[in-house]
Amino acid sequence: MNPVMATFFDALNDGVVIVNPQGQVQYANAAGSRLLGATVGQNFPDPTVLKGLLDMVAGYLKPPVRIPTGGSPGSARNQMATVTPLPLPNTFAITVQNVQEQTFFQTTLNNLFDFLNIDLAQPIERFSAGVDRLAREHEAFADDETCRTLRESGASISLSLQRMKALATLFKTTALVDRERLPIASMVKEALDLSAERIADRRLSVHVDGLDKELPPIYGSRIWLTRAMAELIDNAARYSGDTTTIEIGLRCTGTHVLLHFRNHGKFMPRHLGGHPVYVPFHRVSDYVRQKKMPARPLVGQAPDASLGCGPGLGLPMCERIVALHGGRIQMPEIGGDELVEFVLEIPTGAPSQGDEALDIQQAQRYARDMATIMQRMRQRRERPA
Amino acid sequence: MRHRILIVEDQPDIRKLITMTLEFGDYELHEAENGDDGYHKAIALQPHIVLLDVMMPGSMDGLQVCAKLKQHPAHRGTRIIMLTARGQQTDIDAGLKAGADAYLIKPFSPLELMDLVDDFIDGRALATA
Repeated sequence: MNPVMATFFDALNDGVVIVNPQGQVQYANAAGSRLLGATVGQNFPDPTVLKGLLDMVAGYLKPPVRIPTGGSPGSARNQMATVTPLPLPNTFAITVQNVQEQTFFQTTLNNLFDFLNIDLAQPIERFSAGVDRLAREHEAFADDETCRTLRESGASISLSLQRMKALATLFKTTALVDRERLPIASMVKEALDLSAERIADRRLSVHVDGLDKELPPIYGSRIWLTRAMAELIDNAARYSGDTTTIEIGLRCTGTHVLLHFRNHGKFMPRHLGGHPVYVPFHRVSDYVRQKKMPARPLVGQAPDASLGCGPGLGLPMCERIVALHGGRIQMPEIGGDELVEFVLEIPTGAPSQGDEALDIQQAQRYARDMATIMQRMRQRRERPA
Repeated sequence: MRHRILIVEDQPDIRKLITMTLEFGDYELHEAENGDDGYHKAIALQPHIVLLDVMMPGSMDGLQVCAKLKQHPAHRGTRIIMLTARGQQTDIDAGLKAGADAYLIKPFSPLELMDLVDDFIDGRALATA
């Protein structure tokens, strides 16, 4: 094979093996050798795929033929190989998509999610419910210091667990950074809907500005970014003064779309840390709880943290989501202790794809069409003027 | 007269592939690597055909470049072929709504691209040349 083409094929993540009509390997790129165990000069090692090739050569199957791999030890399992004729005499390509990493991460996530939901959540919830029941049914127990500590610990662990579950649920949905063209205005509305109950409970009003503007394109994951917006709105609602207004504004600089979330209240106390963006939401809520809530829960009242700590993702995770979309969350100085603002800044345009290798399907189509194009050009040149 | 074709695509590999394909024809090829650059080059070069990727970095993606070019009086006759990833129907619908004349789905067929370009070149008056 031409050295330039060999380098090109070796750069692909997917396996490419070129065989003759008998199934003898003529060429295998690096991934092809690794995933399929193909060795130049020997027969293609997977007997199922080999049989598919021979059947196709004999005319029993119509190309391209897709065959599950896994028929021999050491070969890629549970993947689909595609066998196609190449535009060269007696030459066929067997390709297999490299999904091993994807499968590994998907399985890991599924296991983590099940572990959180079943192995961890159920005993913790039973423990918290048991301690609460004890406190309700036995007054002496409710006043006991140990009992109070247990209830607080239980509530705290439950909240952490809810946060982990929220994260795991998101991880199971879509890729963190998808490449969907995002309708920002409807995402803001969706995020507002997610916090509607809290906004109503706290008798807040919401003023939205700029949603009808024509915006430059934003690409990313609708699910993840909407969740980050919902967290910011929910946090604004949680720490606003009662009956105040949450202001949401949308505007565009040349290169970024800026979403402002402003509340009147204690969205985030400024004195917490030199770089407030990195203060997690639960620390803010700890502060609010210390200032606003009784030092000890009232007798018979569970140490519910509905005013203080929320089960959301927390600011660091939201910041990470936005950062992975190339943006950032800022908290500008706008003056006034009771006026707090977060700015969600997202770059316009699709994420750059410059470092990605050409995908295997594109390479296949190019190889398949090129011979025809060259033949056509030759005919044109030879045609009398 | 050589017909001008502007290729607006941010992925260098795909851009190269399109260029290599169209080099088989007798075209004057120009390249741009993002929407903003593509729009300005289209205004300056007055190409007969613009090949436009939908998803690109910058303040304008392919859909917006397409819409702006089609609104421009000097470019209403310019043929625009959109390149969409994995044939997302929403992209195709949005592209046609923005005024695109045709679309190719990635991974695109170089043969289809050549045929499409040839059809457009043969079938139009080329009054803007």
